[in-house]
Amino acid sequence: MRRIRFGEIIKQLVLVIGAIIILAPFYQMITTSLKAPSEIADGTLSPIPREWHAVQNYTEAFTATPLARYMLNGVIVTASIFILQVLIALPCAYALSKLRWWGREVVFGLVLFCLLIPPHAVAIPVYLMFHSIGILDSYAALIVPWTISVFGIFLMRQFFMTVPDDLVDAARMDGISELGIVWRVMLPTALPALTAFGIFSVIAHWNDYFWPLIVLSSREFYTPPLGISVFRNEEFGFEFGPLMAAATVIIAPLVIAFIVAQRRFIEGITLTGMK
Amino acid sequence: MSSVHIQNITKSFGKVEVLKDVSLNIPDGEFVSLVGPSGCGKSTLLRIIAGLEQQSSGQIRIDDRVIDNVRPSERNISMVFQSYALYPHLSVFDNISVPLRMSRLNSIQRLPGLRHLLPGARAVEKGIRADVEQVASLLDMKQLLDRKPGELSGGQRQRVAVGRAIVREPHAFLLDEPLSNLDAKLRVHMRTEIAQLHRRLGATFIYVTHDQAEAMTMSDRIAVLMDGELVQVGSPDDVYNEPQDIRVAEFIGSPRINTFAGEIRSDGGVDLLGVPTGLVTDAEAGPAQVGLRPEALRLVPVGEGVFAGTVTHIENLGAELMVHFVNENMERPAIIRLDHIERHRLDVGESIEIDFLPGAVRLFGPDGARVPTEEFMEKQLVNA
Repeated sequence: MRRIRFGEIIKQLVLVIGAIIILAPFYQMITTSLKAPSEIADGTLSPIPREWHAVQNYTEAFTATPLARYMLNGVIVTASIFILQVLIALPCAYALSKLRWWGREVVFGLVLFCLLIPPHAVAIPVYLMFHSIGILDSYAALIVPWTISVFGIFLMRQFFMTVPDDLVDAARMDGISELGIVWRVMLPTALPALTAFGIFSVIAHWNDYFWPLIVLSSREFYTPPLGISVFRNEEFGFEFGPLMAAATVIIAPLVIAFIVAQRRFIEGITLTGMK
Repeated sequence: MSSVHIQNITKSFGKVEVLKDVSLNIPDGEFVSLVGPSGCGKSTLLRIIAGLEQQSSGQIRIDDRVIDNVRPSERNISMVFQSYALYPHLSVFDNISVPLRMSRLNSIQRLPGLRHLLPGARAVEKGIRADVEQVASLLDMKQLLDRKPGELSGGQRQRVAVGRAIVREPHAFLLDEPLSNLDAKLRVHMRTEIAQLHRRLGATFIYVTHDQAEAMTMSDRIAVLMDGELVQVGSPDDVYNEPQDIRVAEFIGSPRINTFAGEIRSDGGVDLLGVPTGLVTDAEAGPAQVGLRPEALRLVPVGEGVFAGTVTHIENLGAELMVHFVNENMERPAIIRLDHIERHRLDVGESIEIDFLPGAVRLFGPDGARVPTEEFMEKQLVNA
C-alpha cells in the first residue's frame, strides 16, 4: 500500500515539475505585465508584483500601438486561411480517397512529397513571385501562400479513407451530386478531423511571425506577433511592462478558445484516431 | 413497378473477368435472389444494375428503357446496403427524406435553412413529411424519427435503410446482403419481415446474399452465380431438387448434399461406391459423381441396406438428428438426416446400414453438369 502511494507521489512530482518548467515563462509574462517599470528593471523575479501597474501597462499596450487593429488583422487572416484551406482540401481529399481516376496514386505521392518541403525553403521564390504580380504588403500576401494546405489534404484524405464506400454510393443513389457529397455527407462526418485540422491551422497562422515579417511593410496589415515587435523598437526602447501586456492579450484568444472548447477538442482528436 | 432485363452483361477489372455473359429477365413484382459464394460477382452485378459500376459490355433495361448511360439517381432504383450506409449526422427522419428532398426541391431550396423559409419549399417539405411518416408507420418506427443512427440497434438501422429505399417508390429494390450484419435470431425475423414487405409492396426485389437459407426462404426465383457465370435460375424447389450443376447442388441446402464417387458403366447402368443404383443413363461411360441429400438417405436394419458405414459424429438439433458416417470407399463423411421422432439409439463408432430411393439420386458428369437418369433395375443389397 505504502509503496504504491510512494510511486504515486513520484509520478505527481514529475508531472508538477514538468508543468512548472512549461508554465513558468507564461507566469513570468503575466506578472511582468502587471509590474511597474522600476520593479521590472531591478532584476528580481518576485512572483507577486510589489506595486500593481496593470492598468497602466494594458492601457499603454492598447494605446501606444493599434493593438486592436492587429488583433482584427489576425482574425481576418487566420479565418480566411482556414476557410480557404477547407474549401480546397475537402474536394481534393474526396477525389484522392473516393474517386477512381488515372494517376490518382501519383498525385497522392506528390501531396506526400509536398509535406516534406519546409515553407521557409520556398519563401524567397514566393516573395519574388508576389513582387512581380504586385501583391506584396497586403492581406492577399498573408493569405494566399497558405490556402493550399497539403497537410490538410493529407489529413482529410486519411480520414475519408475510413468513411465506408457504401455511404458515398448511397448518397449517389439518393441523387446527391459529387460536390454535394463533399459538403453534405463527407464534411459532417469529418467534423472531428476538421476540428483537429482547424486547431493546427489557426494556431500556426495566428502565431506566425516569419512570413508576415517578410511580406509586410505597412503597419496597417500587421498581425499580432508583428504588433508585439513594435514595442521593442528604438521608438519605445525596452518597455517590458506594455510589451508583456500585449503578448498576454494576443495569446489570450487561443487560451480562452481552448478552455471553452477543451472537451470538444479532445473529443475531436480521439474520434479521429478511432474511426 | 417494373421489370428488369439483364442482357449479356460482362465485367472485367483489369484482366480479371468478374461477370461472364450474364443474362436474366426479372418480371415485374418478382423477388429474385442472386446467390453464390463470395467473389462470384453477385454484388458487382447488383452495382451494375444500380449504376454504381459500369459494365464492360451488355445492356440493362428497365421495362423498355435502356439505362446503361443513366446516372444512378435517375434510374429510379433504390438500394439497401450491407452496412446500411445511413448518414450519421442526420436524424432518422432526415435520412429517409434525403431522396425526396433531392428530387423534389431545387438546389436553391435545398440550401441550409431555406427550405423552411421559401413558401414553395415549405409546401414541398410538408408533402415530404407526410410521405416519410407514412413509410415510418408502414415499417413501425414512428417513435424513432427523431433519433440519430448512432442511437439505434442493428435491426432498427436496417429498418431505416429499408425506409429510405421505399420512400421514393422506385421501379425496383436492390438489396445487398442486408441481413449479414445482424445476429442470427434477428436475421431469421427480418427474413420474414422483408418477404412480407415484398408481398405488401408488390415491387420488384433483387436480393444479393451468400446465405442459401435467405434465398430459399424469401425468393420467387433463385439465380445461382458461380465464378461470374449464371449457373442456374429457378424456383427454390427447382434449385434444391433439380440442381443442374454439382456446384449448385453443393451450395444450396444445409447440411450440404452428400456426394459419392460413382461410375457410369458401359451398359449405361449407374454405380454408387461400386454398388448398382438401379438407374440408367444415356451418357458416356466413365467416372461420375452421385449426389444424395441427407434426407434422401435412410437408416435400415442390418441386412437391408445398400451400403454400410460407421457413425463418426452425431449432431442433435432437437427436432432432428444429423448422423455423420463413413465407410472405406468414401472420401469424406456423409450425413443422414433423421427425424428425432424415430428415436434412433445411435452411438459414435456404431455400424449402420444405409438405403436410398433411386428417384432421389442426382447424377453429375465429370465436368459437374447434371446427367439425366432413369430408374431401371432393382437395387442390389449389401448381403445379396
